[in-house]
Amino acid sequence: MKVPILRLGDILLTSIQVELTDQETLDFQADVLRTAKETAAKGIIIDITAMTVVDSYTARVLNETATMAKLLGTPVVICGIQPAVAMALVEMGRGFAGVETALNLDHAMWKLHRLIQEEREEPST
Amino acid sequence: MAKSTKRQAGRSKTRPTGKGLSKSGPADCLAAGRGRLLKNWLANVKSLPGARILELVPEADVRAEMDRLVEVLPAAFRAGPAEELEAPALAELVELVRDVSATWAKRGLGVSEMAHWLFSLGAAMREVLMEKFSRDVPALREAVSDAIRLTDKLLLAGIETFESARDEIIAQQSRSIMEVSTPVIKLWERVVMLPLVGVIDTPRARQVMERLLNSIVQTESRVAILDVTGVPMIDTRVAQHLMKTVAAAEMMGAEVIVTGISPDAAQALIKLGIQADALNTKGTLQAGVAEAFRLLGLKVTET
Repeated sequence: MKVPILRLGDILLTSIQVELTDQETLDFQADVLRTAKETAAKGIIIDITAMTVVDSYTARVLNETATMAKLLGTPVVICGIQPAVAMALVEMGRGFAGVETALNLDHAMWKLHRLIQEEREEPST
Repeated sequence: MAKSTKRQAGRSKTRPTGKGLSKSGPADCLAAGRGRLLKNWLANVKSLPGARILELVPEADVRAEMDRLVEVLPAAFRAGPAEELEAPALAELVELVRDVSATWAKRGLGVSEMAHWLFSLGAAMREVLMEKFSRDVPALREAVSDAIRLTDKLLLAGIETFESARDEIIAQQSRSIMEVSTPVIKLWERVVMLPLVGVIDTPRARQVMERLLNSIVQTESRVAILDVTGVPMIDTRVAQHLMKTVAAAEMMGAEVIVTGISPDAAQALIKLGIQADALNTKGTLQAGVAEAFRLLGLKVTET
């Protein structure tokens, strides 16, 4: 199943609602990066509120996606990580290290705006 | 002289007819001397130094239990003290001892008191047997060794039951501690606080983690304060649990402030080589709350 990627002003909003296969996860990654490039988005929010299980592979790919997008100059915030998911990932010794995370969409918007501002200020300073 | 030879002859006659007779001897004697046995036993129990049995259990109850035990004792003795603990002949007696043991464990008596109680029974049995067989040393020896064997068996059953009763009490207590132990306090809009009190072991650490993460979601909190003032000792395991909890909360997008780490705990953490610099720590809860306000862009002003 293709994960829809919505444009909202100058940011991209995407929400993973179903469990993805490994291939679908990779397709999602490519999709997000391409759309970010095409639309020249200033930031991306990936919402995983609906995911009750996140395996280590999915976590890694999402992590990579965030780092890759950052390379393109587009900061990423992942939001809606469920307590059980956070616990499982910590137990596995993996996680979303180095990625901005937020409690919910509202919080993610707030964080993303801050990141975009930092990004904008960086070249001038 | 003539009398004693006659006695010896009489005994040598009865001996070959079977061991059963020599066994029914002491058992009958115990049955006949029930009153004396009970009296001696009670006296022994009372004379124990520092015995709390009669303090913690009403004397009437102790008496009643001892009375019933003395009643079934001869039958068990007759069936043979060499029998296994599970043997049907001993069932009634063992059941009685187990009952008493379980009750006492719940009343807070020690295992040594239970042991003393059974040793006192052994001593009382020996006294009664010695009176009866004072002139027949081999029979006495056999009877006494039987009595000791029986007491040992009862003691084994008693200790077993005592232990499992105690384990049950401990399990129950730790369950009730778990239930009361971890309050989650909503300190401010988007700030929750978890005061940790008491020893943290693995199941509690898991519970703390779950509570914290769920409360973050429920209250939409951006900052969580973990106060460890009430944790007496922080060792490697506790520290790791703490780090995991912080990591999980941060993964969800909340900031965690750890407050109230004692000097001893700080020393221990550094000596254990825990990467504690990844934690946002503050010395006091007050400083932690101030930090939480700073993170949220709030300011406290005097009016």
